[in-house]
Amino acid sequence: MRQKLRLLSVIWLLLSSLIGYAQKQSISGAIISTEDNSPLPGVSVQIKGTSVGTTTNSEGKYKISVAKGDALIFSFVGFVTQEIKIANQSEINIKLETETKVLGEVVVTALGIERDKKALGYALQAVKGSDIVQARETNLVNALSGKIAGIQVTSSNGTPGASARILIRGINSIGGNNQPLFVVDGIPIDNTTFNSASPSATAPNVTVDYGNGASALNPDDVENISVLKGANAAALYGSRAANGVILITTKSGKGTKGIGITVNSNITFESPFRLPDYQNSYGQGAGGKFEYKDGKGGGVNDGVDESWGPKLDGRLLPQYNSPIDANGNRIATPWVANPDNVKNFYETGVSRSNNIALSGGNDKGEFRLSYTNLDQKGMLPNTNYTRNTLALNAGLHLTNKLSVKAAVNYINDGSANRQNLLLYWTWFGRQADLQDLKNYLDPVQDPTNWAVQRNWNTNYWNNPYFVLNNSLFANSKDRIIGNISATYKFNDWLSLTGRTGTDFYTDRRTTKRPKMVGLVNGMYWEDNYFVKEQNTDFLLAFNKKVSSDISISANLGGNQRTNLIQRDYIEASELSIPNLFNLANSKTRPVVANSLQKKEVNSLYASGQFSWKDEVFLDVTARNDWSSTLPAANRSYFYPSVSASAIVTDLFKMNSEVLPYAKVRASWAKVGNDTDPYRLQQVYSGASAWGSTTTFAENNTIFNSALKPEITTALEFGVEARLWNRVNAEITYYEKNSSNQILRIGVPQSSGYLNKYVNAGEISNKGIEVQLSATPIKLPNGFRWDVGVNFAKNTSKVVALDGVLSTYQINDFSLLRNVILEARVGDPYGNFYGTYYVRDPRGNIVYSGGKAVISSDRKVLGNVMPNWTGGISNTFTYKSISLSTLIDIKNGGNIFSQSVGLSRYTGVLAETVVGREEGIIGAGVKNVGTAENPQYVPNDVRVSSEDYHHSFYSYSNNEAYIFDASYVKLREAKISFAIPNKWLSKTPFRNASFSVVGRNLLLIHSNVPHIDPETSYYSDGNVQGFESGQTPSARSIGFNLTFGL
Amino acid sequence: MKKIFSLTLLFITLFTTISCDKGFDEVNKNPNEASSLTPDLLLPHGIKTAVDIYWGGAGLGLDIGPLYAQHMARIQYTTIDQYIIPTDVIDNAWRDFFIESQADFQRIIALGKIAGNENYQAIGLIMRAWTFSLLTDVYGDIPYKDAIQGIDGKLLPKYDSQKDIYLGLITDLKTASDMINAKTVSSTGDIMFAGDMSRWKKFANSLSLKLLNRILSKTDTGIDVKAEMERILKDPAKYPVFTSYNDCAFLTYLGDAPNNNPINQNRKTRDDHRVSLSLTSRLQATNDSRITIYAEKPEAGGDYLGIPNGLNVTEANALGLAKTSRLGKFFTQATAPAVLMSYAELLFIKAEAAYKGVSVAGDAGKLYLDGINASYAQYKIAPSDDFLKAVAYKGGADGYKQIMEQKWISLFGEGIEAWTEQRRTGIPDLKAPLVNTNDNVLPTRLPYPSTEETLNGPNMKDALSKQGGVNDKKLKLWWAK
Repeated sequence: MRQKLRLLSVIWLLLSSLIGYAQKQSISGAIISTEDNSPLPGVSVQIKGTSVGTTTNSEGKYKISVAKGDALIFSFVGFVTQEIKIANQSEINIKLETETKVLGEVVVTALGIERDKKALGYALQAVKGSDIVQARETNLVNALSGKIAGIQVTSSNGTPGASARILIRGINSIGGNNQPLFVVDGIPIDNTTFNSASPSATAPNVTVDYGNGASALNPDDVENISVLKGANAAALYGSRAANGVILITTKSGKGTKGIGITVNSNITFESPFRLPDYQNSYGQGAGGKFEYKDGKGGGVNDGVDESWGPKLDGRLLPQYNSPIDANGNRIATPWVANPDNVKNFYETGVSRSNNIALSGGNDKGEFRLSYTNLDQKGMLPNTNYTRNTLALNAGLHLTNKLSVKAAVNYINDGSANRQNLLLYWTWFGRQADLQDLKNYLDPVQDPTNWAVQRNWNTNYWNNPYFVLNNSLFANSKDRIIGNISATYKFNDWLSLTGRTGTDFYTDRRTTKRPKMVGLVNGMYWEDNYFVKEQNTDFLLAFNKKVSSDISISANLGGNQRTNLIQRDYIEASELSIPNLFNLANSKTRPVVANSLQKKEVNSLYASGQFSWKDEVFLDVTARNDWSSTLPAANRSYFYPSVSASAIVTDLFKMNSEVLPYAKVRASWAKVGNDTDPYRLQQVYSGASAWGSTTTFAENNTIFNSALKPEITTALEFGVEARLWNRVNAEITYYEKNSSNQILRIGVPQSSGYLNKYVNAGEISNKGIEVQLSATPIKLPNGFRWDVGVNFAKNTSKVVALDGVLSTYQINDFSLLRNVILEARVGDPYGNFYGTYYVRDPRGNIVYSGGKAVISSDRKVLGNVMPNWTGGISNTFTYKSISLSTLIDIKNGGNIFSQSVGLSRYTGVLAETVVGREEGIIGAGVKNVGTAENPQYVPNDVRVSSEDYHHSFYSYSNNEAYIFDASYVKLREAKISFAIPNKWLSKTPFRNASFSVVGRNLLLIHSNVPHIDPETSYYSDGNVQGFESGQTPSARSIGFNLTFGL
Repeated sequence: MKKIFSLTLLFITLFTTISCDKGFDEVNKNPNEASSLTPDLLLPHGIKTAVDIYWGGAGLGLDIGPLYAQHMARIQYTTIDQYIIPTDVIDNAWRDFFIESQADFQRIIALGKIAGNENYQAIGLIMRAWTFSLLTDVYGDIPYKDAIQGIDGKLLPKYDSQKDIYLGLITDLKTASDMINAKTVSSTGDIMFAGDMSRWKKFANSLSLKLLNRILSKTDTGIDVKAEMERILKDPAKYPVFTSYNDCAFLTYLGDAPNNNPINQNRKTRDDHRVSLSLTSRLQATNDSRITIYAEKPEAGGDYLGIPNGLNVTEANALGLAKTSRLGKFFTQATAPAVLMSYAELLFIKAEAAYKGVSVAGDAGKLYLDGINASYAQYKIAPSDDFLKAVAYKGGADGYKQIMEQKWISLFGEGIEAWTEQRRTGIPDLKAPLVNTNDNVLPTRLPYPSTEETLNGPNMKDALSKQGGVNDKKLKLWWAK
């Protein structure tokens, strides 16, 4: 396109030179935008080589006096400048093309350098900000799902402000961080998740999700997102970029015509995406019997939190909400089903988001100021999330040579309660009337004057409404992400940019847990984080066309990074006066965790790009890092990359209708990686005090003073092609090898330690990514159908660990039901390893006494990583209406579902109704021989349904809890309507659009019953593939209105 | 072009001259944790974690010991009482003993050596020996000689036979007893004996007698067990042992969480345990007033009622929480002591040794009676004449049964030791519950934990084949063979 323009201007020049003499004449005309044919006010119209000029008026019109032979330059920020030689015209009407459109193939690459996509020797995929805004995901990360080939997004749960995890091209690091680096306007930001699955041993059923670092970013301020997938694309970002980079460019005032105001208003309604299919035939109890007295074993099975009780046939039974007679006995009430008890417990979540942005620009500078308020009410009663974002982005061209830019984001987010109920409807009496539990206080108080809860069970469980209203996990986070930069242009081929940026926040978390079941007098803790990342860098950029065929650009830069994490945690684990939530009210010496982590990395880097005839491209990069986390001898490490690409169609002058464009590319890169601070020197760990005596303990970890940097080497090949100008295809094959991995590897505990830091391990990833986009239908009347397909397959393999150990346990804490997640040499990464059904040689399950026999040893039961992932998008556009859908597919990968397995054990699910009256003969065999010489005959022992389910889905049986997590989801459906300009011409609005967006609409296919296969109990780290009855993910429908003034 | 070149050069010189890693050693120095300290600071954590697990934590002291010794029984979540052991119970006891306690004791020994204080070394050795003895009594063969030396590079410890472990521990305890001298240790760090080294010496020798007595009947030890016992018993000046409850080995808890008694902590939120019928029936048969200490009368009224082990839900429910005997208040109070080894236990050990021909121990019948009296004295009560008459020593094989049965009763609270002694002697004659998953065999051990299976597999499998069995709960341990 650029070339065409260049060609056009050359022709113009030639033509105009034919007409020789000068004569003053008046020229007028109108300037409109090619985008929407709207008039452009404020366009600069200047006579070339002079300071004479004018600007267009509010209707986009101009008038100027010129001499024949002069050239007029029409320029406007955000649009491509046009130059027109004056001949005999008296009217020159110009259509200015927006820069983005002309540079449709221009993408943001590492270090924020904008480059023509065709010149890239590696895979990069971009998403427009408008797609992100319209998707209306509170957490930006979720909006990328299905849109980018080769990424895997997992949102943890459906609580407001929950975290999400993103993996690009599988797992690189066996034990370390696998999250990509997030870069906002050239400055890396912090994406750490500080979540505690169980903040205290006394709170086993509470998981609180405080979100991930990047989840605080405001989609409304995003201009575009570039995903640099491989190490290749990211060599210049160093260490952390080995997992890919998510480059976010925020909106600026660039391209605004005068002063513009944009308003975006959105309301989204959320409901549980999928709830289990419960049985409604039998209620609480055991052995078919139940009578409530005190809810903790005083009556008949009333301490039991399972549903193996009497048939829900309306018989009269004393229940927790039965009236009490004069003697204090409960008057039996009808025993009936409450089929929608769980469904009705969830409320409709409502998110309201309002954004107003003011932007403006001219040739001297531009700015954008935006304010966004997000107010989210969760599906669980009394849970919420709010976020206020103030963003300012401004640039000023001080002189022709010097320009400065600054961007500041202030984000305040938090919640009054971010609680997540776990397994509340798994250990459950199906008959319980949850609506009735809204009255959660018993009129009778206990002798010590503290309220008593009403509940269906008081043995293990708290009233869910009581918990949600009284046990409060709140936080408030103030965050500033900002940077300031200055660029000095020495001339048109050399510039120097200096930049400094910071991202810091304080997150203050307070947790109040009242006196209740499982807590003696209540507890209170405060957990305060101060997190800071600071980057200062410079970049010297050189860009010159050396000859007509060869152009060279080169960059030389340096960066200094400091990371700081400070944590102050104080817990009053038992309060003196119940429910007085103050640390001073601690009955015992408070539990304290107080730490400071600091890390510094200095880097120098250089890159060079060579292009020949704009057809062949070669890129080289080199970087050296110095990291404070490594020992002196190993802390400096160097890594290079090289990539090349060629536009085959241009090179061989193919000029084919079928194949107008084809490109091949290849690249090789190495990325070094450091580690976290303080892994070199052996230290003791603090232990809880014995009375007033401070105590310490031998550390569970063996530190290592000889750690070396990790090295990832990546090789990548790709082909890009356009067919019939209707189909675009991009195929990438890659291989990654990560070696010298710094692992905290588990050691046998009989060695006295839990784990040790080692440099060990090699993990390989191979994969293919395919992106196809096509326009099957494009009619002259404006109707258009676009299809996009993403496909990615990644296979990982653990090649080596170290000489001594052959198994790496990914979890270094006990997982649900003690299943193990491991990386074993020769196996793929992420195998589930656990107990299983004992089977005869023909694969039949063995029963003993009618009950399934569970192994005492373990074996591989599955793997968490998917076989492949994909997405299909369809967009139908007709004039200003567009309808689009996005289907997201994951094939393979297992999930350990505690709620499904346990809910079968506890008899709450529909399938557990089987055999309640007559009992069950388990399908399989029994051994009538001896242990040494087994002889298997069909099992014929009938046991009660309760006994059958208790053994078959026993919680020591890991196999029964593992499912295939494949799914096909209708991730997104969207209708948007842009109000045509002609309707707006008489209004103050420049543009207006309205859209309806549905997210997570339909589970088209799933191999896991009852739950959303896409969920995660452990919200961060590499332990994935677990579910434990957390808040279900949400289906949302949102209404979005945008207009500009 | 020249300009760029010189500019580039300038930057390179700038960066290389201002050194890119200035101050990094300081930056990476951990400001949060201690890199050196004195042994007394490690002692409380080491002792407390080991004693917690033993007395009522990590599933081992809370359930495995008392349930399988049939001192207690479950009335809720009864599956563990039917021998379905959750993996975390198996894994956590092993883990916490090794990494929380043994690693501390090992370090205390090393720091004691560096500081030139033999007494810290002795305390480390004694506590390490006590913990190893629990580990081998629970799991069988375990890593001992190679164990807890991960910091020195021994990451895959080989397993030692229970015999070698016992012999090693007896040597360790003698070494410890011999090295104790007049140097002082911190009275705040020594949370058990407040720096009173004479009590550590008594504990070392009493524990030694316990281990020797356990293998007294073994013929394959390769040492003269009887002579070793005599070494201690003959020379109380050099090898003193407990002389009363007051100088035996117990840890007194402080009361406030997390330094309260672990059973007290459990009872704050759970009510799953009752006194076993196996115990109450025996106590009631002889009018043994220790029932008033061991058990509570049912909340709903009536006489003490123990419950059978391994109940199914319906049976448990029929018995009811309020109608059965909870554990005695003495054991559920916040400051209840955890007894590592009692004076009564020592007397029963001497009684058994005497019965088996270690004459220097004294008279079996007298020691038996002394043991009963010491057990009563431990709770500041006195036996009734009726009771003493009912349990009067009969001598001979019956007498041996009486010694072991009274020892079992006196070990209430020390569930693991009671379970161990029952496994060794088969006394009292306990039956597996009707509902059980162990082929009607009382559990003989805990299986090795999953972490050893995955991380130290070859050594673990080697140990299993040497013991002649699979990783189950039916494999007989060496001292029970």
